[in-house]
Parts: sequence; structure tokens; C-alpha cells
Amino acid sequence: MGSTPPLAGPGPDTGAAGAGVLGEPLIRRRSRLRTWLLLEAGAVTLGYTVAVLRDGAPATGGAWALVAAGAVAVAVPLWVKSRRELRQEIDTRSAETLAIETDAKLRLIVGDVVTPIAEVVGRVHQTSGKGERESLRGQLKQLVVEAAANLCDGERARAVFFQLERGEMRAAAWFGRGEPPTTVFTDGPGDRRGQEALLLVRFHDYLLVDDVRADELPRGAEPRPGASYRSFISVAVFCGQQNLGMLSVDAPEPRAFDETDLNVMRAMAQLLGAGLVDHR
Amino acid sequence: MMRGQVVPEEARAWTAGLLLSSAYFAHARREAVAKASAAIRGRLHRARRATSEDRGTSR
Repeated sequence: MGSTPPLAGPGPDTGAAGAGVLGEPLIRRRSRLRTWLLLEAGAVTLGYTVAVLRDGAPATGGAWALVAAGAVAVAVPLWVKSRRELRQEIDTRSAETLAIETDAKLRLIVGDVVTPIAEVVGRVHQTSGKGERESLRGQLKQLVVEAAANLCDGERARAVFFQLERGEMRAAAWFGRGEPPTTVFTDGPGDRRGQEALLLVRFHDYLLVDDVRADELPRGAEPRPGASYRSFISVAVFCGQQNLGMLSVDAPEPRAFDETDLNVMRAMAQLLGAGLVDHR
Repeated sequence: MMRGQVVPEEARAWTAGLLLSSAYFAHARREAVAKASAAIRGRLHRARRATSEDRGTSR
């Protein structure tokens, strides 16, 4: 891939949408509520003190005890109310932040990823030259793995497209953390994982595993010895009856992916399938 | 009124391999969060205003 400077200059990568960008105004608004609560407490204290001192300072121990009991009776509901308001404020802000994150993710998926990739799929089928079409398809594979790794929630996600050719699947494009994938899925009698991966493609299935060490895995879904991932999603890539391969995303932490990520992967796999399918 | 490109220039640059995906996604995330933030706060503001107007009319 070529490299040009970032569009908006260097800046904090917001990663999980919302962090950093949303944090500051959230704190500022909360501190404003604290100020109001402090003012309210000050006004109540002043009012109570004036009421107590209006008829002169308490002279006896009993009178002082009565003043203290009155102060507690005023302070407790004030304290309970301020705690409740602060908690409500935090809950409201959390809900707002979650709503913003969800909306931002939707915008990112639909507007910034699916739309440009769909345009490339269209160009693949418009192109008449075989060489140019293959070049666009290579580009499409790379775009899809980049999108999958960036959109799925794993902190250090890696996305791989294993292309199906002559009954075997090999990595044709990958993006994300470290090591390039070396796995080759075959139908050989000793390759149980390969057989299951090929079956997943043949049946047009997907598989989401939260934790390869904790879950009771279906046969053949176990990681190879020394694998660096704990959770993964694998999705068949196909178009009509043409099987084209498998799109996977994995992460070193358990439970890195949820159903939203699975749906993103399904959409990415179908876009890839639409671009790779041959005209019959 | 809103008018713009279906596939914006920066997205074209990414799909053409002229822009690194890290740069593209960092920019796209910032934009998405900023727009989402404005949209959600606008919606909340409108909802709050509508609620207070409803209260005013029901009295």
C-alpha cells in the first residue's frame, strides 16, 4: 500500500469511539452540577444558621444538642439528594456516550466502509481486462481485511482472508497484529481443522468463539498449538453456489467480539464474495 | 439541505491504495464521533424541549 500523510494530521486515535474525544465535556458538565450542589448546601447551611442564631446562641447543653440534631436532620436529606443527582448525572452521561458510540460505529460501517467497498465491487465487474480485474480483486481483498480488523472490537485484532483454490485454503490477504498467517486448510485425513474449515465454507456458515481455552469447541475448531489468539470469528465467503474462501478475525484477548462484529464480518464476507465471483 | 459525494475523496484515496488504512480509519473515526456526538446531543435537546413543552400544555 502507498502512504500519504494522514488527512487530519497526527492526532489521538479514538479507538473505541468516544474515549478521549468525549471525555472532556463529560467531566466539565459533571463539575458544574457539583458547583450547584455546593451552592445549594451553602445556602441551606446559611439559612439554618440564621434561623438558629435569630433568637441568640444556644445557652444550654440541651439546646446545643437540639441544634446538632436539627443540623443532621437538614444535612442527611441534602446529602442523599446530592448523591442521587450525581449518580443520575453519571448514568445520563454514560447512556449519552453509549448512544454516541453506537451512532458513530453505524456511520463508520455504513458510510466509510461499506459504501467505498461496494464501489470497488462495482468496478471489478465493470472492468473488461483480466489483469486489471485481478488487480482490483487483490485490492478488494486487502480493503476487506483492513476494514474487518479496524471495525471489529478486538484491541489487537487480525483479519485474514483464506482463499479457496483447488480444495485448499491459504491466506490471500491479511491485516493487523504481527505474525503473517501461515495456516493452510486442507482436506487431508490428518488435517481435522482443515476439514472443518472447508465444511464451514461448503455449508456457508459462520463461527464465533469467545474463548478458545474456555468454550466447548466444535471438533476441528481448536487452535493450533502455540496460536496467539483467544477469540475469533470465521465466516464463509461465497456468492450463489460459488465457494470462495473464509474471512476470519482473531484477537489475543478472550471475548473480544460480539454479535455486532459478527454482523460486520458477514457483511464484509458478502461484499468480498460479490467482488470475487466469476461470471458464469 | 445536504449535498456531497457518495464516495468521498478520502474514501477513494483509501480504496485506491493512496492512503494508509490507519490514517483513513483514524480520520473516519474522529469524523464519525464528532457527527454522532452532535446528532445525539441535538436529538436529546429536542426531546427535552418537547417534554417540557408537553408539560406546559398539559397544565
